[in-house]
Amino acid sequence: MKAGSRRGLNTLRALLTCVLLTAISNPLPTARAESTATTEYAVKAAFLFHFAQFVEWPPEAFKDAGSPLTYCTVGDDPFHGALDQSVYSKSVGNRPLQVQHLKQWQPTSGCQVLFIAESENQRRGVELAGASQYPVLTVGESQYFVQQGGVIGFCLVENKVRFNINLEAAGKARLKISAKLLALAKTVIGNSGGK
Amino acid sequence: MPFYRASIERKLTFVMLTTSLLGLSVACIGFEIYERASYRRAITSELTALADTLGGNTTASLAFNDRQSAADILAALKAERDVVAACLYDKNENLFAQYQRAPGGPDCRVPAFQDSRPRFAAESVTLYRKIVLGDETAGGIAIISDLDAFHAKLRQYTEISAAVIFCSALATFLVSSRLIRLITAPILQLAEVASTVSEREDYTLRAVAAGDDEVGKLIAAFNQMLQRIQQRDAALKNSNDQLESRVQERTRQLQSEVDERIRAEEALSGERGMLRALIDNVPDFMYVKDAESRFVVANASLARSRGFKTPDEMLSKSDFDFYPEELASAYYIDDQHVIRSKQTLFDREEESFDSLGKKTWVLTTKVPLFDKTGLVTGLAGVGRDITERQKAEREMHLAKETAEAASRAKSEFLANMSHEIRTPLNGVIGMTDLALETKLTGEQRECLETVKTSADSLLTVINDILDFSKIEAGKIDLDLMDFDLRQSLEATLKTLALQAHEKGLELLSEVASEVPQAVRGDPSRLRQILVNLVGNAIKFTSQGEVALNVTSVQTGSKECVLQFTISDTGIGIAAEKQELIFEPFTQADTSTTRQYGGTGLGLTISTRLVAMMHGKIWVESELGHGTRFHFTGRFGIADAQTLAAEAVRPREILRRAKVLIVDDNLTNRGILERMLRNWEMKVASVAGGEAALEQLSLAREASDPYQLILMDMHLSEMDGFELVERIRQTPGLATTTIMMLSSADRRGDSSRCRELGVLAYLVKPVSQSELRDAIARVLGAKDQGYDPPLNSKVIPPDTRDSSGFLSVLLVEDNAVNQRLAARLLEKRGHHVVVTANGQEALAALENSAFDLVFMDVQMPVMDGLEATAVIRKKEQLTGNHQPIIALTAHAMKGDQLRCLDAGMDGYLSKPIRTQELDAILDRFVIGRKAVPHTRESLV
Repeated sequence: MKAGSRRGLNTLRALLTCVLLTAISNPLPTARAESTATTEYAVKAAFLFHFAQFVEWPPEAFKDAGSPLTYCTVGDDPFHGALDQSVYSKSVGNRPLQVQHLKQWQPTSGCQVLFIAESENQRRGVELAGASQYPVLTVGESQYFVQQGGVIGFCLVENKVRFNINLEAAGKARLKISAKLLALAKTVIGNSGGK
Repeated sequence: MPFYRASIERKLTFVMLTTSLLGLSVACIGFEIYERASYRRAITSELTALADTLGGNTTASLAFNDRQSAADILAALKAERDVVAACLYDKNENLFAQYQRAPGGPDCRVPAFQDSRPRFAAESVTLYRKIVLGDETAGGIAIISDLDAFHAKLRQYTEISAAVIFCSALATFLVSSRLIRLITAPILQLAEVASTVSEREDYTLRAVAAGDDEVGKLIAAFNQMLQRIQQRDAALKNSNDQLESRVQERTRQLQSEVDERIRAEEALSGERGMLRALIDNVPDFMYVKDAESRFVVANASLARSRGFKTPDEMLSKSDFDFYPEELASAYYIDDQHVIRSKQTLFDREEESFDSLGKKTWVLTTKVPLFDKTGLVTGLAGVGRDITERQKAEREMHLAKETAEAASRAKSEFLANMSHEIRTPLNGVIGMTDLALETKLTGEQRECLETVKTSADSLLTVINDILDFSKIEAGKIDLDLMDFDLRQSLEATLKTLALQAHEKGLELLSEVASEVPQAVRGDPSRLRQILVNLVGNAIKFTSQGEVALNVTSVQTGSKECVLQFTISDTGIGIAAEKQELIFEPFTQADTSTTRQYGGTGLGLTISTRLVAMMHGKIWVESELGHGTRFHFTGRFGIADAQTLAAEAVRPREILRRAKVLIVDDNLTNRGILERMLRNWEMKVASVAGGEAALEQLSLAREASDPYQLILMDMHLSEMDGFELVERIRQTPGLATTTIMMLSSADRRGDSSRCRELGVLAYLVKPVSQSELRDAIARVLGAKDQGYDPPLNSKVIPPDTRDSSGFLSVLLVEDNAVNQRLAARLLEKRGHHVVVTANGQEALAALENSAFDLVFMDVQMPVMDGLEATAVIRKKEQLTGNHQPIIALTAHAMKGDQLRCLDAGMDGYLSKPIRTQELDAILDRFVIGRKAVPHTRESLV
């Protein structure tokens, strides 16, 4: 009897789980359109924050052990403060996080993460080239960001924010990227096999 | 409880099994628990590690919201066979990804808890771990693992444990039985032996010794104990035997004691019966009461008096049940007093009543009874009906009063009789004496002298009869005084000497030297006895002698017993008469011839008097061979000094008095001279009358006259009277005081002396004291208050100094006595006034003064005592003192004292003896001063 009722219960749970999962994986359509845009950059902001958690910079990337990890945006800030929000009073590896919004990147800007916005399209190649030797995690949104030498490039897949990783670029920038992150990337280029 | 009944082996086995099982079980359980716990820990750590690993792996997925990769990662759990499900949660605790080993199994969609402790359910264990990325919680992972392996392991473990336990139990069981025997064998053996010993009571058995352990020691001790028991048994048996014999012995003793006790009780019971019989037959009441006055014991007499048949009916009741309240209360009060004070109540006279209701008196004594501790438990009482006794007492009292009244009547009768008889007799004798003093013819003188003699005899007879009556009435007492025995005897014999001399008999006397000089007794009664006996002796002896011998039979320090023997050479007394003569009114010779006369009372009176002197009187005689009367008497021994002191006084008077002795006998002269010189008198002596006259004249001329002449009647040249006449005729010598000594008291001598004015006339032999006293008196010792005893015939002359007349008041009712006394007084030259009773006397005294009053005691209207009393009362105011002399016929003891008590100065007994009268008169003549008379010198 017990076993019977138990099986019943389990079935119910399974059903509920499926429902919930479905619900979760499919966000409600009503607020979709609006929140999509906002949500996208919120997600990307969150991703940016998280990227720091899975990337290792060389020591010379920082002034000292306690200096902050700086996120820089170049060009128009598409985040509209979302990035600031996402890193606000957080730290990664005991380094506080800060955000700088630059018009133009310099190597002396002291950025460890450089987000090149879509609007910088024209210049992105320059910047990229410029920053590629420096230990800066370059993150972009353009389609062929990573092919162009960016380390991580966001992409939208089925309305979900995904990203691609250029391992070679990472290597060039003397950045180590965690396997976990790699595993999550949609595409990884620059390693010997690629994904 | 069955356990307790099991044998020791079983018990031990059981114990060992239990112990080992218990131990093992505990161990196994302990281990199992430990294993379980450690298994749990293991699972937990595994799961934790797993969770952490997976969580770490999925951080990126979570961060980048990549469910698929998360699911993939989770899918790696397939390798873990135990993991049933795993769930990944995002930071909002929503399910992110999950894994299920088998579809439809348990899932973990909602984490029910947050902490990382594993939750163990029956079939599964769930562990939740947080996933941390950097500083933030990225999410959580929950892993559910089933516990099959765990259970299986445990089962296995349990099986093994069980198997182990079982085997070990078996092993224990098998081994223990062997091993236990090691222990139990000696114990069982011991038990066996013990039970055998106890069953068979055979203490000779012993347990087999076994080792040194406790059991071995027990066995050894057991054996020792058996040994001791054996010994003790033996000893016990021994003493038992002894005890047996002792018990037998004791039983025998007890038996005999019991027998004795029974005997004693029987005896006691018998005694009790006797006692009961006694107390029940005693006429007195006997009872015992308890402390509340209830009767515990009562005798039959008491019960009867209360009207009960048996005393039992009285027990436990009190007096209040038998007597009215007033009586019972009184008894009760007595009871309680006895009980409380613990003292005996003697002879209480209780009012009561007998069974008929008549009032009685009971003499009761109550004694408290004590128990061993000294507490009073009650009282015992004895009561006697004294109603009769009281009656008898009352009657006796009455009888006594009657007897006393009778006795008083007798005394009065005697007194009266004495007075009535003596008074006329006094008259007769007195008058006769007076008549004889007048001038009479020879014939008249002869008649009158016969009358006198007869009267004297009659007086003697009457005195005897009165004396006898008094003695019979018990009215005589001895008048004790100290006196010189020898002097008294001499004086007594003096008077009898004349009688003896007349009959030509010798009168001898001898007093033994050891007889005391001074004795205490009644000299007059002694004289009476001697007069009687010696007189009788003289009477019944015609020739020969009469002798008086006095010896001391017993001499003590304060008393002596003297024996007087009067022996004569008379006619003797016949043996058969010797008893009778002491009877009253009998004489030896009752024949009509009765030569000897006498009343027959003398000896009787003497006998009574001897008896009063505590002596005996008896006679030794033989008819025709004389008689010896003996009597003894007890006398006190007096101090001779005091008597002698009396004797001193006259010497004062005699001292330096000049006296002339005239005696022809040289020896006599010498004796007299010595005597007188002893008394310090100035003595001269001559042999004859002529010489005497010469001496007297010479002395007178020398103006140193002789105060006294002491002459012997018989002188050679002229007889005494002649000399006296010559002296009287000699001028200047006429008034000389003369005393005469004569060897014979011849009739007419005394009157002749009187005629011649011889003041004293002494008959030889004269004792010293007599002579001294006579001289003293004659020389006028009266004014010195000394009145020597009159034991001699001293003839007072009737020629007196005219200045010596007194004014005398005579108070006497009897006419004859009046005349007699008056005559006597007037003869002596005194002026007499006569009154007939006290009242007249008082009147007379009012009118005139008298030198002297002679007061009769018994008179009508007012008797002498009363009158004297009145006079003395009056004198208390005036301070005078009227000399009053009593005249009394009683002469009974006490009369003297009564007179003196009344205030009289002296007394004369009737019939009046002229010497006594003269003595008293002399006192008042010389000096005319009344000298208060001391009682002792009165006779």
